[in-house]
Formats: sequence, C-alpha cells, structure tokens
Amino acid sequence: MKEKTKYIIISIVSLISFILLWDLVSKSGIISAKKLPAPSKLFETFIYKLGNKNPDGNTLPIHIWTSLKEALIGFFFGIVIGVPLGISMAWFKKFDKFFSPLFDLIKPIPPVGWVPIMITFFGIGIMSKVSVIFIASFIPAVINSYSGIKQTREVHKWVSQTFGASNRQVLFTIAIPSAGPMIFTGARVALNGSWVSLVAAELIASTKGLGYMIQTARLVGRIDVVFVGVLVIGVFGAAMMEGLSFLERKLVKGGRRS
Amino acid sequence: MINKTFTKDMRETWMYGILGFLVFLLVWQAACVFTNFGKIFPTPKVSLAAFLQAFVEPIGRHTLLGHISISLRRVLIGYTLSSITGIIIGLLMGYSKLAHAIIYPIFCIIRPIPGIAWIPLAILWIGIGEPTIHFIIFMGGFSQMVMNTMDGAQHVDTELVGVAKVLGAKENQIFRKIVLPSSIPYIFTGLQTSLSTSWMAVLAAEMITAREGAGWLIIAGMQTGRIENNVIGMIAIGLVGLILATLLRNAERRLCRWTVRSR
Amino acid sequence: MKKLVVVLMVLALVFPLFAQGGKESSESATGADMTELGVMVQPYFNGVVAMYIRDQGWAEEEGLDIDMQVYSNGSTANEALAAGLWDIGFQGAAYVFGVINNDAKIVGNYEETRGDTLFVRKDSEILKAKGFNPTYPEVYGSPETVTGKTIIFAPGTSLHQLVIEYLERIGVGVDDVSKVPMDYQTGEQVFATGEGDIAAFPTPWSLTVGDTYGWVPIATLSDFVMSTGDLIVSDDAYNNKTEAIQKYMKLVYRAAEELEADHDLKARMLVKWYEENGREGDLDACRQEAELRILITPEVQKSMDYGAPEAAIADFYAYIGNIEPEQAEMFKGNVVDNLWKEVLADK
Repeated sequence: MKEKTKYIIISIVSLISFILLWDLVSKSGIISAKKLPAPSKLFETFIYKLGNKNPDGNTLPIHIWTSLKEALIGFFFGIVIGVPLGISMAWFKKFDKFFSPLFDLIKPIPPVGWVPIMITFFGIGIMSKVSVIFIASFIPAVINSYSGIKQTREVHKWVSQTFGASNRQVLFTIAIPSAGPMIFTGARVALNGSWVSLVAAELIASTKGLGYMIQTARLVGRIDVVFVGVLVIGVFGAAMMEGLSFLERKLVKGGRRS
Repeated sequence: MINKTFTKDMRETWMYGILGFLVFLLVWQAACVFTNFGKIFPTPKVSLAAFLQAFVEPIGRHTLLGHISISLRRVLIGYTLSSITGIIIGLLMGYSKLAHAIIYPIFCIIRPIPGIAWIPLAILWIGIGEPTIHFIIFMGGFSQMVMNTMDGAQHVDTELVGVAKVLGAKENQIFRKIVLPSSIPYIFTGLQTSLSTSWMAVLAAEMITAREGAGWLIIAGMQTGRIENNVIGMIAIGLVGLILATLLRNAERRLCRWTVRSR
Repeated sequence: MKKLVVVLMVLALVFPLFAQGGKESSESATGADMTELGVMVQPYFNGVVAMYIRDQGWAEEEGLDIDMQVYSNGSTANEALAAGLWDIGFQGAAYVFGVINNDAKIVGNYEETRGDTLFVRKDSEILKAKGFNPTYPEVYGSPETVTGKTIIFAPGTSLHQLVIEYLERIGVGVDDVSKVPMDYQTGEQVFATGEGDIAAFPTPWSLTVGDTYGWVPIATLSDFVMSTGDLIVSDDAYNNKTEAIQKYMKLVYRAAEELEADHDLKARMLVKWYEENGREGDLDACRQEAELRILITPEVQKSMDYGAPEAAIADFYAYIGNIEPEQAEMFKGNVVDNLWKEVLADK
C-alpha cells in the first residue's frame, strides 16, 4: 500500500513536471506560442470556453455533452449488437462461414470512410453520427467476443461430451462466462474506438460536439481552442477507460489484468 | 477419412463465404433500387466496373495500384517507427513500475486522441510534407503497440523472476532471458492490431495535403462528388487491410509456434 | 542503477519530441531565400492562375523558384500559414482568419467571385414568391415561404455570408430557419436524398446541380454584395521578400490579362487544373465558370473599390462570432494597397 502511494505521487509529479516543461518550452520561445500555446494560456481558453460561445457557436460543456451522448449511444449499440454476433459467429460454424469473409473485408475500412454512406442512409441528424461511431465500436466488440469463445471452444466440447450437457447449456453456463475477460477487453477497445472516431463522425453536419469545435477552431485559426478540444478528448477518453476497467474488476473475477 | 472431411469443410467455407457476399451485394443493389441511396450511390455492378477500370485508367495522377503502393509505403514507414518506439516504451512501462508511474498518466491522455485531431497540431509542428503523414500513421499504431507490449511485460511469471533472482541472475539477464521472451506473443498481437490501425490511419493522414494514395481517393471522391472513387478507395483499403492481416497472422504462426493462440 | 537507466531512457524519449519542434521552427526561418517562393492554392478555381503561371514558365524567367502547394481546404492552408510554410496564397473568404492570426497582409485581388448560389428543389413553395424585396426582383422567397425551412451550407465561407445576406433581404430572422452546416460536397449528396429545403453551393457545383438534379437557383451572393478572391501574403514575406512577391504579383496580373482575353483558353486551363486534382473536368461547366468568375486585370484592380469586399466579409465574421469586433478592425488595417499600386504603376 505504501509503495502504491509512492508511485501515485511519482505519477503526479511526472504530470506536473511535464506541464512545467511544456510551459518553459513555450514561454522561452524555443517553440513559438503560435505552434505550442503555453498551458497557462490553454487554461485561460478553457475557462473562457466554459461560458463563452465564440468562436464556434456553443459553450464547451454543450460540446462535451453532445459528444459524450453520441459516443455512448454508438458504443451501446456496438456492444449490444457486436457481442452477440461475435459469440454466435464463434459458436455456430455456419454463421461463422457466412459472416467471416464479409467481416474481414469490412473490418479494415476506417470509420471516416463510412461518413458519406451513413449520411445518405441516415440523413443529417444524430443518427448518421451515431452510426459511424457504432461501426467503430461494433468491430472490436465482434472480434474480441469471437476470439474469446473460440479460444476455449475445444475445452467446452470435451466438457459437453463428458457430462452430456446440451450445446446451449455449455454456451451459456461455461463458454460465455469464461470469455468474459476477452469480451471486456473488447468493450474497452470498442469504447476507445467510439471515442476516437468522434471527430470523424462530427465532420458530418454538426453544430456542436468536440469534433465540431476542433474543426471550427481550425478554420478560424484558434490553435488554443484546438488544443483545448484535443486535451478534453484525451482527458475524457482516459477517464472513461479507467471507469470501464474499474467496472471490469468489479464484474469479472479472474480478469486478464492482475 | 480426415482428408475427406477436410475438403468438405473447405467446400462449406467457400460456399457460405460466397453466399455471404452475394447477400451483401443483393442488399446493396436493393438499397440502390428502392431507396434514396441509389440517387447518389453507384450500384454494385457500376462500382465493380469502376474498381476494375481503376487498375488501368489513372485517377488523378496514378492508377489504383499506384495509389495503393504509395499508401503502403507511407504506412510501412509510420508503422515501423511506431512498432519500435511502442515496443521500447511498452517494455519499459511493463517492466519498471517507476517508468510506468512516470509515463502512464501522460500516455493515457494521448491515447484517446484520434488521428484526425492530430492533424492541425502535426501541420503546425512538422509541416505538410510526407513526415506529417508518417506522424499521423505513427500515432495510429503507437498506442496499440504500447498497450499490448506493456500487457505482455506485466504478465511475466513473477515466480520465474523470483527464482532467477535467487539464483543470482542480474537485472539485464532477467530482462533478456525472461521478460522479453514471454512478452513476445503479446508483442505479436500488438504488431497485428497496430498494423491494421496504422493502415486505417492512412485515410486521416492523407486528408492533409496529399494528392495521391488510397485514402486520398476517398477524400477526393467526397470533395468532388465522384462517389465511385470513394467506393473504389474503400474496397481497396478493405482488401489491402485483409491481405496485410492475413500475412502477419501467418508470420506469427511460423515465428512463434510455441504460443497456441487460436484466431 | 536500474532506476537511473529508466529515468535516462524516459528523458531520451521525451527530449527529441521537443528538440524536433525546435528544429523545425528554425528551419523554416532560415528558408528565406530571396528567390524561393511558397505559393498556396486549393484544388478549386483559385488554382488556375498559379497553374497557368507555372505552365508558362514565367517564374523561372523572373528568377523565382516557385513551390506550389495545394491545400484541400482553408483550414489546412491557414495552419500551414501559421507554420510559416508559404509566402503568398490565392484565397477566398477564409483569408480573414489567416490575416488575423498571423498578421498576414492582403495585397491585392485576383478574382471577383461569383456563382455562390442558393438552390431549392423544383417543387419548393419558395418558388411561388418572386421579387418580394423590390430591390432584388430576381430573388425568390418571402417571409411566409422561407420561415421554418432548413438551409444547408458550409459554415464560415462566403456561402454562410450568402445565407445571412439572403435572410436579411427577404426579412426573415436568422433564428427563424434551421441551419445545417455542412461541406458543399456532402451537401450535394444530402440535398439529393431529400434532406433540407434550401442548399448553398459555390462554383463549379452551382453550375452543374441545376442540370443534374433539376434544382432551381433562388438567389446568388453577387445579387447582394461583391466578394473577391484575394492575394494574401505572410508577414515574413511581406517584409523580407517584397521584391519576389511583387514579381509574382506582376505575373498574376499578366496571367489574368491573357486568360481574360481568351475565355476559351481560360476554360481549357480550368479543365486541366481540375483533372490534375482528380476531378472530372467538364468543359461546358468550365466554360460557364470561366464566364462567371472574372480574373482581376490591372484595369479592374485600379478601378474597383479596393478593400470594400474585404471589410464586408470581416464584419460578417464578427457578426456571427467567429472573430471579435476589434479583430475585424485589425484585419481592415492589414488590407494594403501599396504593393499592387507599385506593381501596376507603369501599366
């Protein structure tokens, strides 16, 4: 326990010295403030954006809320559809053979590439954004639940043979619980994916959202607002990942992470 | 007997795979015919024809193969760099708790920042040439590589390390003989996933100022309203990604036979 | 010992990160060779002059080493300006931001932008009301027909300005319509699928969508205000490469004269420029665009109200909150006429 606090202190010191170093580099003019605004300036901008709509038309809390909403809805559907699909692909051979090649082809296409297609399907409302995020989280959800089940499949077979359990019983009582940690890893990757694809999704017809804020700030050349947007994405992303890891530790016994 | 079931299995695999594609194409066709989708989106037939034609007729400055090879070169450069630094940082963080405490908080904040969001910063810092494109691709693969390697180095059998220590092994011996080998399977997983994420980052990277590349096809398709270029780019990225993943999976199977990872 | 190594390695990894940035900035500063000139264009109409100059080989004759840089949009172009990557650029309305953030200068005009147009579908009720404001008899729309409609446009561009001007002229409040910001590229696709009621397009889109989809133009920006494409020069180049900039400006006016004298040539050059950038070069559409968008020749430059369109667009950006009012004033001060006056003194 004492050792743990020591490392936490080191972490904090590390973060602070990183910020100080950054401040020093920026203020000493080694890199001009135009290229790397000082942290103090960014903090100022952050405070300013909390209550001010300029230059992009909405305050920072509204942007954050919009992005969180879109990312979480997309993530939710990605998990709800992706995990069962991954499990069925791993469990039912014909399913596997039917979907796998298609899936392998679609997998490498980056979410940004889907943007124009999603607009034509879902129009300009929130749905087109959610659907881009959905794809980004759906794919890792499928992959991980698929390999989670696959990895232990042989063992399940022996178990079912030995005890005469039905295929369904084995699936629900043994295979899925034992794939739990893998599925959670998938959820973590999926959450990361949905958050990462946010900016791409908000290239579509947006008036708010962190991605939109960054885009507009780029256009008007407010590099400080760009930085604030990027850092907010980073901090919120990190917080959500930690939250999910916490959930995993609570829910899955014998998780992958020791 | 075994041979026979094997071929039957193979036949089924092909059959269902092709069936899957057919259903997909059918849905695509139906969407074109029955919904607004068709007003702007080409049918499968038109897309396929455009795709094949792109091998002979140049789009912009190159034919499709030219675009793909340009993108591949960019990805390989960014990917190599991100793999090397990713493995070093990952091992460092997995092996030493001190390094973990120092780097991890900063890494955590950098990790969720998407490739597209790096673009404005990369332009300011590095400019608009090829190095910027490599940087975006680098960022695309980097965090995957770090996470996987770190995982591997953290999952070293602590008893094994303890025994080695008792037997008087030095720090660097433990690192080379125990930590490194047992991290290898994880590193390979990292190499695989980071290759696919690097390849995916090519689209964001080529948004900058590129005038060629598979990602550029999609972007130019969007910008000029020539949606067939968009489709060609997507098919190309999908296919190449598939090929790259298969190659690396086979390489892993050959190189580390001792790890039985089913995938 | 182990800890020391770890700390050293961390430092070794962090240091190049910063060193890299430092090196870059010094590099761009030392690149100030008198004859080297970075020219910024985009893959749209504004690139045709730069391409013509390049193809004619005029720059070499003048002793200029041109590095022509094509940026896909105003954002990247402005970021590159901040990074000190180009000296002179051809740019539309987004020049305001480049000037404000980098103390760049507007030194002249190269075109009068026309063709920014609002479209509706054939069956729109807006077409029933024509000439509501007697000053603009050709403009469609009235408060009854436009209120509550959805307008698709690219934010922060002259199209945005068009929407604001239009609403003002027909007496509709800015908040009485729903505005959907979107690239015109995607806008075309979306409008084609039946989303939105009014959509704004620049050339060359505005020249083709009428034929392709049967959409009907209801107003253009040139109905209301004049807008121009401008030559923007970085602060560094303005002060330290004045001679090279003036040489290049001379070529811009020379190209404008030649291309305006022969619209057929202008259209063909436009086709070439578009094809070079991966777009279909439709000769008919390019002919129309060549007729519509007028390059600024020396005579026009001398006779026009220099600085008025720039002031109008700056006020517009201040109005929608993209910039602060005092920034708009600073911008107006950076629209300078000394360079083109010297360049055109002997014409």
